[in-house]
Amino acid sequence: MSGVRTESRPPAVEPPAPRRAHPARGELLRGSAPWAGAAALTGLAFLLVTEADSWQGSWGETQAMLQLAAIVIIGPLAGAAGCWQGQREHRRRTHDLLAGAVRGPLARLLTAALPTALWATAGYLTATAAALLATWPYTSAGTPRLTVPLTDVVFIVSMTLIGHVTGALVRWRLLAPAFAAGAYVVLWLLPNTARETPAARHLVPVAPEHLLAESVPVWWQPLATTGWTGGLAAAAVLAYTARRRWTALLPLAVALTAGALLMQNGERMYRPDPLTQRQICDESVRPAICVRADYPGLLPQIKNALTDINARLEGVENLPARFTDLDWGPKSADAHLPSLTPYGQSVVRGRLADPERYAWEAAMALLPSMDGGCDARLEDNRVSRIDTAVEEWLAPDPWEFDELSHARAVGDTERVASIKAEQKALDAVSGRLRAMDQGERRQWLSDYFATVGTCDMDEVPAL
Amino acid sequence: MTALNGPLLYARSRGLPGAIAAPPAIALLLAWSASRPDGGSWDPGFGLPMEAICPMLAAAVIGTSLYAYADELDRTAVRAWWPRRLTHLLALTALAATALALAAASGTTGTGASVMARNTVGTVGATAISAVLVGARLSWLPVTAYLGTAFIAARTAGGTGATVWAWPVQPDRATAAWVTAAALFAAGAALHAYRGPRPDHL
Repeated sequence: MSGVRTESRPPAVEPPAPRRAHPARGELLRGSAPWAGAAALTGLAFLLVTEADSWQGSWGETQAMLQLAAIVIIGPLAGAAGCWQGQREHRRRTHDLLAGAVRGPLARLLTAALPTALWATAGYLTATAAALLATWPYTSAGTPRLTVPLTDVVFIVSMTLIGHVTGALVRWRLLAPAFAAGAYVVLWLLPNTARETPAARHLVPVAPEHLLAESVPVWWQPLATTGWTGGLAAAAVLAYTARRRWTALLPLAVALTAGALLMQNGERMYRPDPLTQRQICDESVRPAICVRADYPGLLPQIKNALTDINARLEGVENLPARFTDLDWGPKSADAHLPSLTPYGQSVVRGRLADPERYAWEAAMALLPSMDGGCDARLEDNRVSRIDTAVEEWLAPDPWEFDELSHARAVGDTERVASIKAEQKALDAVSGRLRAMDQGERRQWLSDYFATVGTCDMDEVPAL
Repeated sequence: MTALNGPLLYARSRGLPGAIAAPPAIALLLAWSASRPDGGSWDPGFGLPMEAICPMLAAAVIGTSLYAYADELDRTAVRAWWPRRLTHLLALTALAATALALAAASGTTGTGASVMARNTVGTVGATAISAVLVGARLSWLPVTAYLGTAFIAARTAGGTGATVWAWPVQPDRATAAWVTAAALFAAGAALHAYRGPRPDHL
């Protein structure tokens, strides 16, 4: 030991390195991106709330409404917000400054553009989750399709990126609102220009009205839609930022191929939802009651609405075998129930909106068709009164137009007298039907329903 | 320095020459669209909603013209700003509403001059409110979102409530729509005159 005492220095304490936030964090939390998300969410929520009757309770209608909103409202909005963000360097006059930045143009563009896309997507997905949760308690069959929100999200992100590139290229101060207006016009009108552009309408990734609600897209349709919208956006981004610009040709080729596929196949990309073609029947009553398999929860309500009709027809012969609400290929022995679609008219939130009206419409399906080409039936007063008496016996029309009051209101005395006379004659016929004992009425109704399809008025039994 | 320097500098700082030129240009677009037998539609029976698009574009021009490049400096001014802000908004709104109404009156479409004027006034009011809340240069965003939504939602909406929230879609005779548009403009003009646009550095 040398006896020299050495003092060991305490190890130098490195000051903690400053935490560097990723540039995307600032873009995510500040600027116009959060406003774009708020606008998307508010717009979508507003639309969903005001149109709730027409979608809440049906998976198909809910997703159709969400898709329409995503394409027509959020799409132009996200594109305009992207456009605004893309113009930022023009507004700040920092274009030249950023040209010397370490990060490449592609990284810079994605860092600036994707937060807007993320916020717009977050607004859409929040509204989607809320809408699906709101629909869930009122559904009784089927499930939502995951591919619908996925293709919508790809579209929203693509619109943002295309808007961003457009904004980066064009300096015009009003470009962003003009982009929104232009996108709105194209996306709203193109699907509705079937007469002039039947194929091009499928380039807008929104299913034709009510098709998504009752149909299922083929498995490759979401892929083609994604290729079309995503390919265009990727091509725009690469053409603007890539060092080797020819690389944009690859996504462009994908987009054009997918676009051609969409245009060529059109509505053939959708096949009927199997649930809408099957029926669930209650055979415990006569006529049996059958409803589409996508609304099995409505069967008890429909049976309840038709209870009076079924009770009054007990034991009557020559009736249709079933009430059915299938829109295609009904058996001739079936009577059509009022359609449950479009959703929001007959049915609102899983409930029959007007059971009395529904029962009347069902009863009318049993009676002779007024547009069946048999004018003799309409012109024959005796038979016409009998038809009306049977209608009133089965289920009176709750919304019947009061012609007498109307004639009195307009002061048409001649018409008042004519209506009164007709009403008196009708009351006499109805009274005779009601006055029959049950067996007699059952037999008379059996004879009557045997003549429903005939045009020979002499065959209609007297009353 | 002449007495005109102040107003001229104000006009330049707000980009007023462009804002004054834009409404007549939008009106020309509307007149061209309205003069077509199909009302500018790509499909007969399915017209372009020009009564929303044109007021939206005019309101976007007016809204972005409210932007103050040096708002910190402006706040140090001796004179009150509210008369200038109010005059600015009133003059451009009157110009846009007149130009669009005249263009609508010249056409063959169903959109009436009064509906176009009402929608322009209401949309400018909503844009002025947006300018106070989110900043002048982004003031078109909430209004664009609202108009796009209202035109789709109003397809099936009915009742008294719809004449208020879907006021741009209502016919000429809907009093509630006029009241809503007037209220929006009054609120927007008052808020803007009092507070000015929110400073933004977007």
